[in-house]
Order: sequence, then structure tokens, then C-alpha cells
Amino acid sequence: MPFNSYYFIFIFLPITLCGYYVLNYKNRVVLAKTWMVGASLYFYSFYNINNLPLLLFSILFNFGLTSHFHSPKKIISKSLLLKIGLVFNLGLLGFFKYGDFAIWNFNWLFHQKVEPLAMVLPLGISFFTLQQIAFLIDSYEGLNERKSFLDYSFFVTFFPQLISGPIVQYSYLMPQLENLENKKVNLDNITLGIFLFCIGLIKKVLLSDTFGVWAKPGFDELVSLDLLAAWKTSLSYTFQLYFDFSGYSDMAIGAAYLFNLKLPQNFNSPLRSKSLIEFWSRWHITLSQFITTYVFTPIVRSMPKINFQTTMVATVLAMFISGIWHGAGWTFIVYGVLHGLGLVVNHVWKKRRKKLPGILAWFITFNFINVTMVFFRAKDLEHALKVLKGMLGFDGVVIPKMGIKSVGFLKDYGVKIGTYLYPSDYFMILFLILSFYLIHQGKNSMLLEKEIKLNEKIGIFCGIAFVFCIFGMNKITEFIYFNF
Amino acid sequence: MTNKEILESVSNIIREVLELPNLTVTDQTSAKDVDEWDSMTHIQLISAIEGKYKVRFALGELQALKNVGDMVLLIQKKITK
Amino acid sequence: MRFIYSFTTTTIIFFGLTYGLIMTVDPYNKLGNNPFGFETKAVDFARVNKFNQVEHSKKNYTAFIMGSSSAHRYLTRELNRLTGLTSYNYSTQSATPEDFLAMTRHILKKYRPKLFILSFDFEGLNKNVKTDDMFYASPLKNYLKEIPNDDIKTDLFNNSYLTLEALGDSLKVIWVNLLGKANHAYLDDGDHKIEALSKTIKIDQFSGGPYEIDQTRISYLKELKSICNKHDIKVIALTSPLSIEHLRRLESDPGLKKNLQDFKNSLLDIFGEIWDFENETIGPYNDVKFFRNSNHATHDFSTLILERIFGKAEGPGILLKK
Repeated sequence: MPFNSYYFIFIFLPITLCGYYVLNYKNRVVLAKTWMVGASLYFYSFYNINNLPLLLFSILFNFGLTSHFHSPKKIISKSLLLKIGLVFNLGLLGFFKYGDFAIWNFNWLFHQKVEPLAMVLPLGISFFTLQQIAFLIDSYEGLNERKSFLDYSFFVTFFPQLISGPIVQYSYLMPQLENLENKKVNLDNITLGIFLFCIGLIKKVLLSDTFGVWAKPGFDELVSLDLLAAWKTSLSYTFQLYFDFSGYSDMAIGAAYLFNLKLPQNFNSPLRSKSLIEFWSRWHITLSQFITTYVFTPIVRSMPKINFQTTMVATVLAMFISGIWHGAGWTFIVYGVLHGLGLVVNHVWKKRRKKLPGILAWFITFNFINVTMVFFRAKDLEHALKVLKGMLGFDGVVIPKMGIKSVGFLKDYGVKIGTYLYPSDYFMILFLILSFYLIHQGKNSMLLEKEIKLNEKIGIFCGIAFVFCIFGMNKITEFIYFNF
Repeated sequence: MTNKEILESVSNIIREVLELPNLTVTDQTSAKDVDEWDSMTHIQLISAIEGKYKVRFALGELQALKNVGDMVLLIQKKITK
Repeated sequence: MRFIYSFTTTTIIFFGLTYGLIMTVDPYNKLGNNPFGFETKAVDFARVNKFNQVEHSKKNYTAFIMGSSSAHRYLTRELNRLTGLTSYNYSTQSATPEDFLAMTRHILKKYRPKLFILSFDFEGLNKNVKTDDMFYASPLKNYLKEIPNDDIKTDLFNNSYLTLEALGDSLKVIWVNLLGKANHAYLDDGDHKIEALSKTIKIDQFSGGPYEIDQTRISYLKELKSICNKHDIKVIALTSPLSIEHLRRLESDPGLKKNLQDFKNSLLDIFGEIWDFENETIGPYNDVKFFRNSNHATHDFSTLILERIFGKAEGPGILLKK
């Protein structure tokens, strides 16, 4: 069920909230948790009921396995349990997500014609797999005590974060549930929840979807792009992705607040970053933390020596894995490796302790991000290179007719004069400027969560924006991260 | 060891790994405040601390170690076990 | 609490105002609302405009042209010249036999016509092409008592009005009408104003879905013919011209080719003879002088068609007889 839908906002959410608080009020704690798990499973199956068995199977298997860490009779050794758990989770993920990619590559490499399995990727599998792997490893390392099945299910299925994160650790979320204060309706949290949800909705419906319309033709439909069209395409996508995913995270966090539960922040104005290292501490923060903790660190520790060189190798490997986690395709591999190498360059430069002027640092970082996002979005390498080619001007430059009569000698370099700018072009330029301003100067939702005083004025602003979103939601689009 | 002693030696390790001989380190210092303290230097820090105190941090504990105060408490907990 | 209160109140009030505005302005004329008396809306207003013209005109019209927008450009002065009658062009967007029957009854309330020219689109007899919503939103619907009342949907939460586009278009409608820049495409006598030629003949969407002859519409046409017989009105039926490229694409699909034949035969069955312009005789007329796009003729071409029908020119088209 998408967050930006009438059904979710006006039916699912109110009913789930009422049930939860009524049951808690009547001290039926177990029932309240069960209600939430049930609601979350309903939320999950709404898209396609066929997804449900896999999720249930994954929860049951992982719960059974991790419980065994605490059982008095140690039939299976802890390290074997860990290995089985990892193979199971990664195997499940690998099969559904990368099965066809593997087959395709096998066919290409060995000139075979194996039939692809053409399976539909189960919703959110990348996220609930990671979340449970973290739990598995924490349990193996003795950081968790035995949990009840209900609590474990709640942790995995909690609907605000089930489909696309923020990825949360058990110890972060569940203790909040035990706090008696959190079982009562808290108007401050409800207020903050509504506010953050609205912010997310605005980002998604009014900003991201608009940029999405501008990004699509260049990536999917046109055969070649002139300079301006290519930049319009890539910038639109970068903004689309940012507003989409940070908006989604805002909605997730906002929805969780309605239940008096705090989820970790996922974005901290990443497009302001002055270095790639900084970027990864601000973009999809919970994923970065997961990769650093459970992928990067083990790789480093497995190296013969821990020094600069080995950490750099580990960085590239970790980013490669991060890239391919996002999707089964060569574009994602290129994306990951580019970021890995970029980080290495960044670290090498950082050692010199010479700082670049702020604007230059931002410029380089932003453009690197913008360029790598082309790989993230493009259907395949061919389309990615098409956009990049255009961005460098290799497929021509078309200048809008703005009082210039001729381009003179530049004609030989593929420069042409095109048509006048349409009103929609002016609108897009304005929109881009507004977005640059917002990402640079605006108070991001992390800051707003801490500082904002929610009074009538904000209430009115949110009300008006919410109505615009209600109108805008009518074309329901998919969240980009849904394919994960 | 007392917490104060731990803080003292951890601070030295931090200064050494981050190559910042003049850095003031207190209980409140965290990775956010120090530009040179990123994921890469963090793992080197952890490794050095593990070597010095003969302890082992679980993966799941690493995020908490981005704050010096929490780090000291965790080290204390581990060496008294 | 103050936030929640002001948020909720603002949402309800602002939503009510915005949605109410859209419903009142009715930019796509789906509801038949026009309390501000706007001259134009976001969509062409033809049905209501022309209905009013026919209703209130002081002229004694004795000939009527009916059809969809493909018949917009038959000039009444040319038809008058060829027939000596006083004609009115009652063509409207996306018209189907529902319109024709309703219009016939409407016309007979006040006039004593001698001639009807009916232009039929291939898609007009397709069951899977819905009758235009605007028919139901216009006064014409009162002249089609055959429709059961629950067929007419006046959905209060009309989905296409709950969009940002509808809001934008409503504001545009208000703006355009306030500035007096209302753009009338239709002149007196239902003529369409003359405009510059297109640059190319763009192929317009040529299939509205699987083709199935709509028997209800056939029955409406039979009723129309019988009314005309009763009132001594000569009916000239024609198939609306398609550019040769459009025609060839249609006929390259054996299923559609057969459907086209069925379409012509159905009309022949009802009217006895039809002027068919959907055949190879249209070949030489593959120029922007003749077509605005692949299924809309220009003014000049429409005039040539009339001259052909009335024997004053050699041109495209074949007179098919039963």
C-alpha cells in the first residue's frame, strides 16, 4: 500500500491507530501488538497477496534460528547457526533478486539460452532481509536476549518501515514499545507525526513526481539528447530520487510518531555535501550504517593487516555490494564501484589535509553524485551512456532562441538554435531553482523534527499543502525504492 | 582502571590514529565533531583500542562507539567482565 | 493541539473551497454547470453553444449538417449555394448516433428542415467507444428518452476533477474569461472559423479498442431515418474522409478491414445509399490543403466534398447503393 494514497491516509491509518490505542487503553498489550502485526501484514499484502507467504516464511525461519542461540541445549553450534542464517537470508534474496541477472549473464558469457525465471521481486525483500541479518548477527554476538515471537514479528513487520526502511535495529525500536508512557495517546507526537508526514507527502507528490515527468523521456524514450536536454534529464532525476526517498522516509518517520515510536533519521540534506565521504553520512543513513557495520567492518577485520590500503580495498568492496544491493544490473555495479573509487580518491585527498574552497568542493561532489545517479536510473548501460554523452555535448547543443541570430562558427561543432522556450520550460527552470534553494538553505526534516514549534500558522500551511497533495495524489506513482 | 584513566589512554589513541596531536578529547567528543573521524579512521581506532585493552567489540556495538563517553563506558564494562 | 485543530480545519475548508471552485467552474463541462456564464471553458463547448444557437436563432433553417468534429468545417454558405436552402452546421466534438437522434428531435421542435447531411465516423458505431460525457452534461440528453436514468453518471466525486490539472484549468478558464480573451471557434450558423493550414497530416489515433457494431446506436439511426421519412426530410449519409495513410493502416489489419466493411454495410442498410469517402479515391488528396490531420478535412476539402455530393465537381468518393 503506498503512503501517498487515499486508502492509506484516510482509511488504513485511522483505523489502525484507533485499534492500537483502544487496545492499549484497555491494557490488552499483547492484543495491541498482534493488531499491529496484523495491520502491517495487511498493509504488505495489499499490493499482492502472493508476497505474504515469503515474508512469513522468512520471519518464522529467522525467529526459529535466532531463538536457538539462547536455547540451553546447544544442538547446533553458534557459528553454524550463523552460517545457516546468512545462507538462508542471502540465498532467498539472491534467488529472487539476482536469479534472472545471473541467468542473463550466464547466457551471454557461454552463449546459452537458459530461460529466465521471470519472478516478481517480493516487495521490500531487500529491506526486511537486511534488518533480520542485523538481528541475526547481533544475536550471534550475544547482544540480544531471547525475544517473543510477537515482539520479533512486530520488529520486522512494523509497517512504516517494512517496505523501504529506515532500517532499524531491534534495540532501537522495541524498548520504546515497552515504555508505558508510549501506550497513551500523546498529542505532541501526533502533531509531529502529522507534520512530518505532510512534509514527506509534499516532497513526494508535488516535487518528486513533477521531476519524474521531466526525467522519464530522456532516460527511457529519446534516442539521443542534446546538451540542455541531457542536463535537464539528469538533474531532474537526481532531484526526483532525493525528494522521493527522503519524502518516503519522512512519511515513514511521521507515521511511526503517530504510534509514539521514533524511527532513526535517514537523510540529512545530503545534496549539500562538500565531499563524498560526507555524502554517505547524509544519504540513506541507515543503509550506510548497516553497510559500514555489517559489511565493511567484517571485510576489514578479515584482512591480514588493518591499514590505509586495506581499508581502501574494503571500501571499494563494500560499495560494490551496496551498489548491487540496490538492483540486479550492470548499471548498479558500475554505480557502486564508481562510488567506491570516488571514496578512495576522497580519502587519499583528505590525508593531505588541504581543504578545497567550499563552493568548489560542493560543486565537484554534487556533479559526481549527479553523474553516478545516471547509472542508478538508466535501464541499462547503453541508456546511461546515452545520457552521459548528451551531458558532454557529444550529441549536439541546441540553444533556445533567445535573441541570438546565428551561432556562426559553432555550427561546425554541432551547435544549433532551437525554438523559443515554452511556458513549461520557464516553469521547470523556476522549479529547479526553487529545489536548489530548498536543498541548500531549507531546514531539513531532521532539524525540523527537533526544533519546529508547531503552531497555528504551520497548521494552516500544512493544511493547504495537504489539500494540494490530495489533488496531486490522483496519479498514483510508484515509490522508486519499491523495487527493492 | 578508572574511567578517567580509560579516557586518558583512549584520547591518546584517538590523537595518534587521527594524526591530530593537539586535539582536545572529552566525554562529549563524537565523530560528528571531528572531520578526520570517519568510517575509515573509526575502524582503525577500534582496532587499536581492541589491541590495547585486549577486548573485542561486537559489530552491533560499533555505532555506539562513535561517541567517546559511550566508548569509555563500554570499554570499562568489557574489561571488568 | 492548536496545530491539529488548525490543520484539520484548514484542510476541510480549503478542500471544500478548491473542489467547490472546480465543480462550479466545471472546466471540462462534464456537469453542465456554468453559473458564471463563461463563454469558453477548458474544452470546446460546442454542444451547449450550438444547442443554444439552434434554440434561440431567428433564422429559418431548412438544412442541417450533423457529425463529429470531422464535420466542423463544412461551410454553410457553400451548402446554401449548392442547394438554395438555409443551413446550420450542428456538428459537435465526438458526436455519436445518440447526438444525431437527440439533435433531430430538438430541431423538429422548432424547424421544418428539408435536408440532413449526416457525417459518420468509423469509430462512431463502435460499441467500445463511449458516448461523450459532455452529451450527458448538455441539454441534448433530454431529447434522448431512451436512456435509462441510471446510465447517466453525475458522479459527485468525479475523479478527473480531483486533480491538480483540473484546478489549473479552472483557474485558466477564469483568467481567460476575465480578460475577455474568450476564443470562439464557432460562428453564427455553426460554422467553424477559418484557420491556417497544418504543417503535416498527423495520424490521429485510429482505434478506440476492439471493434463491435453497437446495435443500440443502429436502433437510434433507424429511429432517426423513420422520423425523417415521416417529416419528408431528405437524408444524405456520408462516411467521413480519412487520409490515404490512415485508411491504409486501417485496412492492413484484416480484422479492422472487415469491421470497416461492416460499418459501411450497416449504414447502407439503414439509409439505402451512402457517399463513401473512406476508400482509395481519397488517394490524390494527400496534402495539408485537404486534411488538417488524418481524419479531419479542411474547409476547402469539405467544400469539394459538398460539390461532389451535389454533382458540381469530380472528386473523391463513391456513391454506394444497397
